[in-house]
Amino acid sequence: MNSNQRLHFVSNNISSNRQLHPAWLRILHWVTFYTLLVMVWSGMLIYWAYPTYKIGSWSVIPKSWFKVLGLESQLAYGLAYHFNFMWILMAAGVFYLLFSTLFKNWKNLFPVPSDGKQLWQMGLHSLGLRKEMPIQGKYNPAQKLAYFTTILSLALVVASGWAIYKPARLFWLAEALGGYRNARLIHFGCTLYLVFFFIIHVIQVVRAGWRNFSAMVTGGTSQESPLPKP
Amino acid sequence: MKKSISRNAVISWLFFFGLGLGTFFFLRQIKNEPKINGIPATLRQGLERNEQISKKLPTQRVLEFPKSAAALKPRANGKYGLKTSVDSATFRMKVIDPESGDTAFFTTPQLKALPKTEVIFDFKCIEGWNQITWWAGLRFSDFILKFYPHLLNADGTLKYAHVGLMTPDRQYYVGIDAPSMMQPQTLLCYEMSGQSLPLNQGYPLRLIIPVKYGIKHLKRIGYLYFSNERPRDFWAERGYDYDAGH
Repeated sequence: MNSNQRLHFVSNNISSNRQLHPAWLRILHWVTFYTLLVMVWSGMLIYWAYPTYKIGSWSVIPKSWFKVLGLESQLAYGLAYHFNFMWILMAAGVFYLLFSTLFKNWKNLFPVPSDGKQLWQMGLHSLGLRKEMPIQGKYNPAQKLAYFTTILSLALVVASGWAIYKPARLFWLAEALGGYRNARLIHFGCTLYLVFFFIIHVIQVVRAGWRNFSAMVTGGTSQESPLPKP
Repeated sequence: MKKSISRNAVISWLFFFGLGLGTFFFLRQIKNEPKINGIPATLRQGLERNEQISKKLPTQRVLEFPKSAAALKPRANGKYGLKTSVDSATFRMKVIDPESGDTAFFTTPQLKALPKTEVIFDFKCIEGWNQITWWAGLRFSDFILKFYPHLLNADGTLKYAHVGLMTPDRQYYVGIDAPSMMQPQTLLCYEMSGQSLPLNQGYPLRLIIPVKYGIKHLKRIGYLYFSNERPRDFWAERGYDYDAGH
């Protein structure tokens, strides 16, 4: 990163309070995390009643898992938690969209064509075939891709959730998602993706170390550059 | 400068642990709360609020399909209220007139003599499955128009906020809001897939109400009554949402 770019980077991303992650982003990050825990857990209670998805002849979630995890015969509870905590998730989503637009957070996240080249360079770097990491903004292209698709699947999980929650009153939404049954599959698929992202995310955060983790709590400071890369 | 950063860090960590602990205690408090109809009070109140919100969305006719899309043998779920035997010769649907208090007895031939309406729609179960199914019967709104016109307002809506239904043995019962009952796809149904209803599908007469989950499609209608209070509802007493509507 040459000094000019760094200056640009600092002025854009770290701004006057010199923080890597602004307070609104940190608050929404952790609120979303706890809410998603409740949503995935209650979603499992609901999915137990009709656990049909298979890959080949393998159940995506085998019946035995519900038994081991104590998730059997609680459909009513699952629905009740799901249809209450959904509001918190949606509120967090609305605030996220609002603040991201207001504070121009999107440019950190939006994948751009040059990311492809950087991704390739990163690949070479991690294979030891390229000495230096490519120049990057707040997030590297792999992060951008991961975070952007996660935000996208959160939006899709909410849309498909409404489509299966009110398929008559919101029939246009269910139809736009390919019908009721398809919307349910999208809802499930997006959840699987979110769980998959969560696992990779935790591994990467552990690898990146304590300072990187604490940056999502305290905001981090510009002194921590070069930036941690989860 | 240094001081302000560390103060920020302290506040941030307090928030972080506070949110975690707060979530934990909030969930534990919900779990230990007194229950209202099978679920914690906070959750039940939330479901009631959701119902008020969804009622503001316009009611829609549900999509209909060609007969060829309908399942040949629709799935049957739930045997509550069907344990006693049924005799088609003596079967009557008992309807209680809220104005006079009189009970009228309806036979299925009597209902079959009136215009038949067919509905082929995507039946949805609260468990998560769905199936395109083909039903036929007397529109509930036609039934009211024919036998109970005095229960209608000038604009064609019901004077009472709810309709209650029970099986003949009163072991299964549902309560349904009047607008959903008067929706033109709601049937007092006597045929499935072009044939008489099978026993496990509520022979001789059941409710088909496409704007609701299957739990509201009461099989074998023994009693029908009108009320401004919410009628008792079997699954709403067992933790499910009262509206159970789409």
